[in-house]
Amino acid sequence: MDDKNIIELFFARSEQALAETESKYGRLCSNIAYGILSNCEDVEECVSTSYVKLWNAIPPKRPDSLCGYLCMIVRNTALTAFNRISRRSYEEQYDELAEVIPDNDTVESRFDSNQLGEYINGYLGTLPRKQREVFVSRYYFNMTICEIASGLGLSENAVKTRLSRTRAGLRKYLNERGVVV
Amino acid sequence: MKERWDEAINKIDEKYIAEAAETHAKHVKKQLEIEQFDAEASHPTEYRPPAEHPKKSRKGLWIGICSAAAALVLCIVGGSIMLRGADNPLNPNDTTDVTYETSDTETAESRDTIDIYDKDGVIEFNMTYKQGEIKFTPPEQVPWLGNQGLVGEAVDVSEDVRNTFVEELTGGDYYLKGIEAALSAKGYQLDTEKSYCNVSNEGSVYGSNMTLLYVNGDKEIIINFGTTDFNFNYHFIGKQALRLEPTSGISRLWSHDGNGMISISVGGLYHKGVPYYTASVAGETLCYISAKGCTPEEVAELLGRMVCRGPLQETGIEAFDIERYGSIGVYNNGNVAPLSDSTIGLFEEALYESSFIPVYNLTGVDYSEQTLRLYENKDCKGDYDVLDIHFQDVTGKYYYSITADKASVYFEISEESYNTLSSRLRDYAPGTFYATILEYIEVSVDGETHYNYSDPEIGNYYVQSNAGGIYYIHSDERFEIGDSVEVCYWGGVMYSNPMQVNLIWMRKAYNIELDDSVLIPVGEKLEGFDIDIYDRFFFGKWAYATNDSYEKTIDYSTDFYLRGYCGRLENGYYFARYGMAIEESEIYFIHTTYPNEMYVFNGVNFEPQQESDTIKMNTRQGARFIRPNNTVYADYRLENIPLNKAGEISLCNQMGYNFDEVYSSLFANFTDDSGKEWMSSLNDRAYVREYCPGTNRWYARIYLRYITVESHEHWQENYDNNVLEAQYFLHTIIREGDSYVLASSVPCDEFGKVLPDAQGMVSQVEMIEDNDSNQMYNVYLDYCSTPYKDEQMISDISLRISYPRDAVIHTTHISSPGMWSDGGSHPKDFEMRLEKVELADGDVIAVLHSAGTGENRSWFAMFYGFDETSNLLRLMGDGFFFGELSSPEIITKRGSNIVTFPNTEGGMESYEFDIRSFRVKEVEYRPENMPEESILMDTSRADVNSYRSFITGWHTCPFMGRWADGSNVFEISLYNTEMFSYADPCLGWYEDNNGYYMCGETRLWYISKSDETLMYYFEDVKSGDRLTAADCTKVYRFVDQLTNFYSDEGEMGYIGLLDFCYRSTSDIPIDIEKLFDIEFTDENGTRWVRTNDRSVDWGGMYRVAVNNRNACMLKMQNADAPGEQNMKYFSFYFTKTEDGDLAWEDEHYSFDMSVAYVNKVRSDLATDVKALHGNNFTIELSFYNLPDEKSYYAVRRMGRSDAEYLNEAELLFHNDVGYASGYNVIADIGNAYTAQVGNRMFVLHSKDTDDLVLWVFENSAEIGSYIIGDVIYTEIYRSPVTMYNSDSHVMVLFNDGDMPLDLGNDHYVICDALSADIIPVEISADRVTDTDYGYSVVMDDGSVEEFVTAW
Repeated sequence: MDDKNIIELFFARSEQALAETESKYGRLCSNIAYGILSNCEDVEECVSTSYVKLWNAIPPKRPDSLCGYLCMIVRNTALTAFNRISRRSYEEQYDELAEVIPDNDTVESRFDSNQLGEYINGYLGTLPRKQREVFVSRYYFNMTICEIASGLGLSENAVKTRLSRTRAGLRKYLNERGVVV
Repeated sequence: MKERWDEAINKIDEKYIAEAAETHAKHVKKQLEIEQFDAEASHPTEYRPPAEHPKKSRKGLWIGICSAAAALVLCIVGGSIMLRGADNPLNPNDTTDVTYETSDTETAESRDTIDIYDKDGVIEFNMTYKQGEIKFTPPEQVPWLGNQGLVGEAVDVSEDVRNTFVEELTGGDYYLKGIEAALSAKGYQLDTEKSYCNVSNEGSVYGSNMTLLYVNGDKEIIINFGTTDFNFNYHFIGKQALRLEPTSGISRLWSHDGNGMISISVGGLYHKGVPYYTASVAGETLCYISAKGCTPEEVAELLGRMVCRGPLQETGIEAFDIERYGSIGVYNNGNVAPLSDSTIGLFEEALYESSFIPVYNLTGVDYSEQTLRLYENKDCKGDYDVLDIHFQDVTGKYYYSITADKASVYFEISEESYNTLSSRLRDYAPGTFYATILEYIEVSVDGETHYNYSDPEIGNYYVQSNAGGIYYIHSDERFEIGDSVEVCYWGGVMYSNPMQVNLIWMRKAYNIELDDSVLIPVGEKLEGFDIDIYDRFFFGKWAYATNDSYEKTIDYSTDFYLRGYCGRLENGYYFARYGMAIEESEIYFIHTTYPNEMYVFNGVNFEPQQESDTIKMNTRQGARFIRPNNTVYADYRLENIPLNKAGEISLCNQMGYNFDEVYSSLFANFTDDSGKEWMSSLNDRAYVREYCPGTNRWYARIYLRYITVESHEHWQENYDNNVLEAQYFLHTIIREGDSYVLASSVPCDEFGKVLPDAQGMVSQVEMIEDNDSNQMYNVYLDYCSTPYKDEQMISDISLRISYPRDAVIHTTHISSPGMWSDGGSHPKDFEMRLEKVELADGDVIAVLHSAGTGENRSWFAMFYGFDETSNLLRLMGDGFFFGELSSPEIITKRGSNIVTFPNTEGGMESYEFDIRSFRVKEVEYRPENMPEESILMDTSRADVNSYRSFITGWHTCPFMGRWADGSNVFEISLYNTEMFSYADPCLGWYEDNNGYYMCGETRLWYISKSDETLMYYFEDVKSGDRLTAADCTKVYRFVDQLTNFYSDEGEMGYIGLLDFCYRSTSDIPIDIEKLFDIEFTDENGTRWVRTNDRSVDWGGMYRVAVNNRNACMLKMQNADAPGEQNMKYFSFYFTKTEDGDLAWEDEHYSFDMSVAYVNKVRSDLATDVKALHGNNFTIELSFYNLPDEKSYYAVRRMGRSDAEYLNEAELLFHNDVGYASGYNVIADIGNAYTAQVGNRMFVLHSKDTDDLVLWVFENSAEIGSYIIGDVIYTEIYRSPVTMYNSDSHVMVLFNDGDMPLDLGNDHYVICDALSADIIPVEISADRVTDTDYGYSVVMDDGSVEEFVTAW
């Protein structure tokens, strides 16, 4: 069933919508959630919760891409769960970032997440689609290199190299816009 | 900061997320299919990974999810469900758990804390909320919160709420009171005690804003607070949930004078699909524009332009106000007046110079979503169009306006009318309201006014607006200022743009069926086509027919619709783009304001084709184009227009006529050939059609409904009983000079289609020349009527078809009109077409016409060649009559004189034409389904259906082709490389009902679903080719199920999960079958023979060719004890002898079937690596489940250069990490984390998550390991990127962090690979430069080494 029809099922408040969604995207959702949570039980709960959120969001929401929208929900739900489950680990990851992200106390480096998000989007817009997909897969969906490689038909090395160069490009892009990284 | 990064990542554009998600979804889907296939196949030799294998564990997970979902469904069915986090699903920071029931008595309790950042740091802003109460507790230390601007989006929650808003917001009071009142009206309470509602002038230069967004229909209220450093929404859903939704926005550019005279603007600027909202403050000369997703620079640019120029600021008396419902008006001391041209021009200029194009969202709702939903909710039945311009100004007066080309007509209306109008419009129903005409504007386009219109049928007047549709005013007189008139909403304005390119959707009114017309005013001249599409809208209902039958009517209420774009061209002219869309596929038409020109494009691109005169014939409905003076410019009902060439019709030239004049002069009454008197039925006027064959004379075709009545007197009073007969007639009118001549009148159906289910015979074809010496053909057909009824022959009905200029049937004579009087039961699907058939020796003309209906419908064809001696077309084959055909598809084989078409028996038949002798002979007749020699793929016949299937095939992206502009030719666009994969952006791999297609730039691989053992390869495929098996360059045969294939010449390739790897080995053509015939006896005397298993997934045959030396891996079995228990993998090496035989070398390796899982055999897939490295290949073997229950991994790497390719190292080591958390070490080792220098193999190995070890093997023996994480950098091992090597060194690239997004530095660690002591050393990044293939590194001695990876 195509996404349009699935969405119509949501609008019709048909439970079949969930079954169809699960049938079509359940596994992808699990992969995404697993990339964040690394725990089958948590993944299961996360995906189920995501379905509920999707159920509540549609309607009124009519996403352009059901797949993308669902994946966003799953990802964010997983992050929320991850925060709850392993805040400490998350903090550690952020500690890494502290070395390279701007100091918020300096005027020069001040920028907000909105701007940063816009910059990231702006930068992504300059990338070829495949490279952009690699970036989003890695940093938005938290997919493993292997999963990205498999999904995009690339070698793992290609994925890593693209990520590395994309990061470097983003760094340059941000620097050019006054974001000190 | 970390939160900002997290938020920043969260703001990755949804479209980017979607594209990645969809790509992975396809992959996952395919994986699942394969796994299911595997499971079903129960391959006896299949090896399943141990329990810790993630795929397996996820399968368990999958089951769990299924169970969970099933439980969920059960919960829902049970009527109550506990919802967690159901507010904003996209908010990762939303840790709120909202619990409520699905009943109407939902409750919601929650608490949240939001950090607000202002310019001085972080200030916590607390907000609590629970059911029925909203309490904001702004911190006192945020005084600037009192300086919000206000802008509203969308329309009301309810009428009273909206009115409250309007009253409060436009009445000069503080806006928060409006909010409070509005929320109170909805049952909310807004705590404003500590009010930041003091809309004062205390704002800083940054300003802040508060945006009130309230959305109609969804019971949503959104309040958006935005300041310099924060911007988020409070989102109320009904009464039970509050959604916190951080939004991006540029708030710092907002400011206002604090007078509170803030108008609500629901209009928006759309730029590149991004909405830009508008707000204005009465009394202030500035126009405030906010934007979502807009960069500060963009907004600043626009604001700067708006602010700094124009009379708005100079005079101070005109407030530039973009009204909430979209019209442009100017308030001058409370009186509404249209903007002056200069003002509007200024506005236009300002906007356009900054590349912003204003679009007014007349629906007042979220344009991209709501409009569509409304549309779909109404099932696209044409009554969804609700767009109007009515508003209340700052003085409280209500207005109704019709926006015309460059100005508007304003009506002052009563509040009651206003409310009625609002309500009516929301309900999408026609209605009536009373208005006092304040002023009317003569709208001039090309010097012609068209502000009103007299309808001869009703005798009243219309106000017609290019922009605003048609509004009917009940008045016997032309309205004047001050008149009080009844205004009826007659035409729905689908889209109104003050810049005036409008498509007007006509709808049913007063029993006049105008539902299928699209009116497009024709305006100014156009040059250039730098088209900027800035938004789109939806309108209309169309149906379409397939190319095959022209009889399939799509249910346009569900899957077919019309959508289009308006835009402005670079040169200042306008265009309207509209098209038919079936799911993702669309066919576009472009109409511009170029005088009397219309451009039609099929396809996805917008390259104009000037003077294009074709429309894709996949529609049944037509479009009418009317000039501003109400002259019918063109009217098309595509279903009835015969084709000049498969699927195309001709559009007429510019010659117009005045319908009213024609109507009144010719059709008031009508007497047919039998003497029966018909009178026109005023209420049943049908469409006007016009065809211009390109001569000095032109033809118009109008069909009207006529009736015969028993009594002409009083028949109107007793219409039903008085009408004896009703019939549509199609009139052909010839205009000669200023006079109109009725050339013929032919009964037709309600769609204007002539002819019943008659079967025609071509009696004559003649060639004529028009005044421009263009050759045309007149085709005369004789018809027998209703052969399925009485077999009555009517032999003297002639149609003339002029081809190729118009391809229109011109009925010239009907001698037996009685045949039409059978009550209108004639089938409606008679078609006739002419086609030029290009043969090798010249062209022939095919005349095809249909007969029968429904399943009995068939086609007959006659072919004519040009006889130079008589200057006539001569029937080919001495009267040979071709039929019955199942479809009018004429298929020619390239470079031949053979014509093929489908017969009604489901097969094909082919005829060879000798155009010199006019003879025809049958060369092939196949009564059954698609034979091998039949069409494989006809690229010229890719219609919408197949187009759709293209893009919904296995791999929807990358897309492989496109519609050629101006035609129905599907162009092949392939990636022109010998070897490519799914990763390559230009490769198309898709399927339709016939087969699978893989395409390169000019090449095509095709696998017919009727025979999946063969793959056809075509070279030099070009647009419009019709490919048959005979055209193929090569045929490949599969050794397994659509995976491994080979050609008779020895070329091999495989189709992987997501890639298509094709490797030409034409230098060593071999007989692949001989590979399978190998037998040999090993050193133990065991004789091994091939198995019948050529499968790939778990073994089978692989082959890699390196120069003349070849390697293959085969699954073999003990010849004396065959069976699964006695199978092994063997790798062999062989060369091809001059006589074509295979010379097997003694060297071979065997692998135990019980443990070996052939991971992959890879050659250098990447061409860049190939170019640098020569031909390498590696066989990877993964060993699992050995007796020690550990996983092992082996890499056999072969080949280092073209000259010495077997400098190999065999490595076997265990990996005791397995699939632990973190990186998949096995996979990583197998890919990027190995490098080879000489006979040393370097492997990055992570024993656990804390150590990263560089293992060094020499001739398969471990000679050392180095924990480079400790040596170099304690953190870097977190993210090794890959390993590279030069001829003497190995380099490991690290990034000090990977997840989450870390823009930390790369680190480069190198070591001398050939030295006795391996000492990894980090080198500075400035010594490292990216290359196409890896990295270039400046060594210590100043030399430069190139580091690459074979992977």
